[in-house]
Amino acid sequence: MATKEAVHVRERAGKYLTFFLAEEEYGLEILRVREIIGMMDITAVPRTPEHVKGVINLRGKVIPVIDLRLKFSMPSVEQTEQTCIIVVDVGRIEMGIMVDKVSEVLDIGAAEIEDTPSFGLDVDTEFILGMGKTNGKVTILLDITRVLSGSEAAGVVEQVQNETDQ
Amino acid sequence: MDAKTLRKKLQNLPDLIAAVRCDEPDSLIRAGTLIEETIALLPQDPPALVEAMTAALEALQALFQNRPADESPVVQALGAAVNGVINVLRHPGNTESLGACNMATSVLHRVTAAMPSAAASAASQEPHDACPWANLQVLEARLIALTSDDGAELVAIWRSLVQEARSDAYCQRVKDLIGQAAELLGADMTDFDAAVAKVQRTLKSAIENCEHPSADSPPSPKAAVAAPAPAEPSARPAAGGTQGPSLPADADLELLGEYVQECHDHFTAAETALLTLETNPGENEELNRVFRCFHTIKGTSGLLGLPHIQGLAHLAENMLDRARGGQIRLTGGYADLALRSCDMLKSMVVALNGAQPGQKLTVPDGYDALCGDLQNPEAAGYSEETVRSTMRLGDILVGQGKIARDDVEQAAAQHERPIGQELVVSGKAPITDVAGALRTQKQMAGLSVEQSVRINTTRLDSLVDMVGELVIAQSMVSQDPDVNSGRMARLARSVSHAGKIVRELQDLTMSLRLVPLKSTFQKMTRLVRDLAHKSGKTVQLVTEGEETEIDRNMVETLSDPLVHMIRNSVDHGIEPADIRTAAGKNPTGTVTLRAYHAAGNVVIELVDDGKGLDRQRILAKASQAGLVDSSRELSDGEVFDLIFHPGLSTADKITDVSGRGVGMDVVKRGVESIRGRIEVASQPGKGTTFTLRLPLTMAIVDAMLLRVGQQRFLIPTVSIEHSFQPRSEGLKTVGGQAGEMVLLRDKLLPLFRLHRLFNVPGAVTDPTAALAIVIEAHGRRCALLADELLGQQQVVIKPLGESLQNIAGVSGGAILGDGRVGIILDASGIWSLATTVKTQATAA
Repeated sequence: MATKEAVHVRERAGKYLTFFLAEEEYGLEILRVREIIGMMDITAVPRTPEHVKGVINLRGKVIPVIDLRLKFSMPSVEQTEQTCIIVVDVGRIEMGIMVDKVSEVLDIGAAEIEDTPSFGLDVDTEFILGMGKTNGKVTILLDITRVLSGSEAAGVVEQVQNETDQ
Repeated sequence: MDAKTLRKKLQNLPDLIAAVRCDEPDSLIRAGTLIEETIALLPQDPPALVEAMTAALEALQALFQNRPADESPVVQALGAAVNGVINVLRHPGNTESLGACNMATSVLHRVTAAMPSAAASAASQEPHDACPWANLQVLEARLIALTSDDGAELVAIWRSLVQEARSDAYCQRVKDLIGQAAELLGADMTDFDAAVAKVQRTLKSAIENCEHPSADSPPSPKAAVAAPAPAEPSARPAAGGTQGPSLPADADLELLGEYVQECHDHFTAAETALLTLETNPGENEELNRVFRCFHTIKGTSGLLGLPHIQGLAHLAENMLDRARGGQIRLTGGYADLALRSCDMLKSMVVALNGAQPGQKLTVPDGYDALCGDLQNPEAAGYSEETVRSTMRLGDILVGQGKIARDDVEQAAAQHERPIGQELVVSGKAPITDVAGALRTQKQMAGLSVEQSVRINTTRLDSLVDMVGELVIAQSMVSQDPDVNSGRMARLARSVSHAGKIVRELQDLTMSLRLVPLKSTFQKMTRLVRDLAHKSGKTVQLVTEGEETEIDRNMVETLSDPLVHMIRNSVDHGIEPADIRTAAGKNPTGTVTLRAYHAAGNVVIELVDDGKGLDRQRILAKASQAGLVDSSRELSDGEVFDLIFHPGLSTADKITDVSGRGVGMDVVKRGVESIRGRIEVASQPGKGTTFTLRLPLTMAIVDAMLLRVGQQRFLIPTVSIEHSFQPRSEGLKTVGGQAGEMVLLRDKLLPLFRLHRLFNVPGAVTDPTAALAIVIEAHGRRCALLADELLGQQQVVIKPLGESLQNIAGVSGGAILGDGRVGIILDASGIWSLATTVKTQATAA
């Protein structure tokens, strides 16, 4: 599959927006990020998986929001002042991901990125680009398209992605 | 060949006519012969041409026989008629020239009538004694033909009157009367019609005095002296022109040469600037340049003693000044007028080349008309639009030769009714002519091409989105407690003002997506033709309201149902010609496709005058298929609705075109997919009518907002039949709690609880405390249990982000007044969802 190879050969160095889920720091390619918005009313959509929080009104556009904690099978927590939604651009479509806290924008060089270690079958590492190590911190660099395409609700994402790649 | 000869003859005519003089019978005869030959060659259509030339011939003959003192008005009218004819032939569609031609004709007719008959005057050898008042009659005729906007003609008539008043051909009393008339004409003309009528009366009494001169005031014997224009023959005006002022005797020829050269430069500059202005009216620099050119020409012409050039330049300058003041824009008619002035000035300046001091100068044809137009361009029908679009109804009728200018003026003077109506009521014009002229006027108005831009639909969609968001933001502001507190009246006013603008903006944006149904209807014409041919029937399609607009997304979806319905109508509805004749109907069947707006909907009607639906047969088929309970009496509407049921065909034989029933379910589904409704009405032997009611645009849906627990859902009102509060005695269950039903007017409906279907916590669980909403989808009805209805509102449908497209029972989202998203439910989706969930539930 062309997409898979493309991801692996892709230059991983670059700017990442980092955010926290529990105590873990994750990184998101800055080019995928459209905007960061504070928590707002989310309308639940019936009959969708649990991690699909619902839809929000983004200046007239209705976009779905995914709770990344639930997506990664982490326990749900109370929302805080710092909880926010990162609007990401996944191919042609936009989606919001709900995270605990946005941290900073990191410039990570190629030398600072390590391949994902294998954790065995228990942990799915499909959607991890690599591990960034800067200033003694470890950031899990996400391949957000994969994260979202993994969900049933976002089944279209991969399809759209393929179409865009072709 | 003939056209060529005609053209040649017409080319020679103006010269000959210009050379006509009463005292040179040869010139009269030459011109007369040529006119006669021309008439023979003229096309019969439009008849006004032949009439104009015939009038010209008659006027010429009258001129010859009467030999009035001053033939110039007659010659002028002759020239106008001939030029009109030439113009019409050159530009066949040009009603303006046709109008001019007609105008000249009517003047000529009057001139001829004004001169005593040939027989009466033939006896007299003294031409001036024969009819000393001929000039007055010509003047009267011109006065009658005068329109309020023709300033130049008014001045010309006044001048002639003053001249006549000095003429010794009349007795003192007549002279006084003429002088009076001239005075009246020169005085206050605010009430044009009354003033002209007064002048006319004075003039008439002058003429009567001439005809019955009092014994004490015999006409002066020195009548012959009265002949004006004593100039030598060499100063005769050139082809197509009339005499103007003469070049001052002390004119400096060198200076004149410089002037001509300078003018040329100005003309070139002005023309270029005018053309730039036409495409870009905002160019102030160009406008100033044109103005400067005309202004300089006006100034220098005045210095050199060239009043005709100065006058025209002055008038043109006035119009340009209005453009500079921002009152008009120099486009369309105004630009035409400016360019015409430029051309005429140029031709007059060119004529100065080689002129000798004291020599008479030529004023080109149309000079007076142009001056009149410039004095009041609006009254002459000029505007920023192209000239033709503002043709007045009367002008068109006169131009078409259907009616005389007089009658139009009279009708216009009534002011009580629209002019067309007035003309018909007073019997001046047949109604067909007026209707035709109205059509022409409409077509002309349509000539101004609407400019359009092609635009990317994504951009359009995002514009619609943004405006939708603006509307919501605005309503959030206007509902803000601070704004409504009453403490900030000014803010509240501003907010409500902004609200109006926003609403208009929303309407406008919505209309951007609309396209006329015309092309859809046109396709149907072809379809009917082919179908009729195939089935061997004669069927005509009548379309009405093609200009009705509809959302462009709907047009494509609409075409399929329409094709199905038309097929049905032609194949099953319309009977073969022999059966129709036997039934006393027109052998040709008619299918009418009609579209119009009604109550915020677009309604499309398909009417056929065929045999209608067979109620009995539909019922029989339906009960055969187990669709209806035969014990119950069904209304016509209910019976006819059955034809939309899949698989129900009442046709005896399935043709290759269609079978009634097969396809009708497709029709219904198609119409519902664009949130429309379909109704059938039919009368046996008379025909069937299908009525489609469609929303104006796909993007907006009328929906009912309902609450279930803490969640809000929207259900399109189209699918809602009604709602009621269930009573405990009406609730039935099947298999315990698994299958719930509710009794409504002796009918059992399945009851689905929305909170169960959608897993909503905190909802009312006791059905008698909740509300049952009866929805209908694809002919199936069911009741949904919700907590309460929050009200009806129009919402803009949006997809739930592309990744959440195919959720059963959910058709999209809409942004509600508070900025949150509401989920729109889809009736048929709920049905299938409910049934599958139930099956699972019972299975489990």
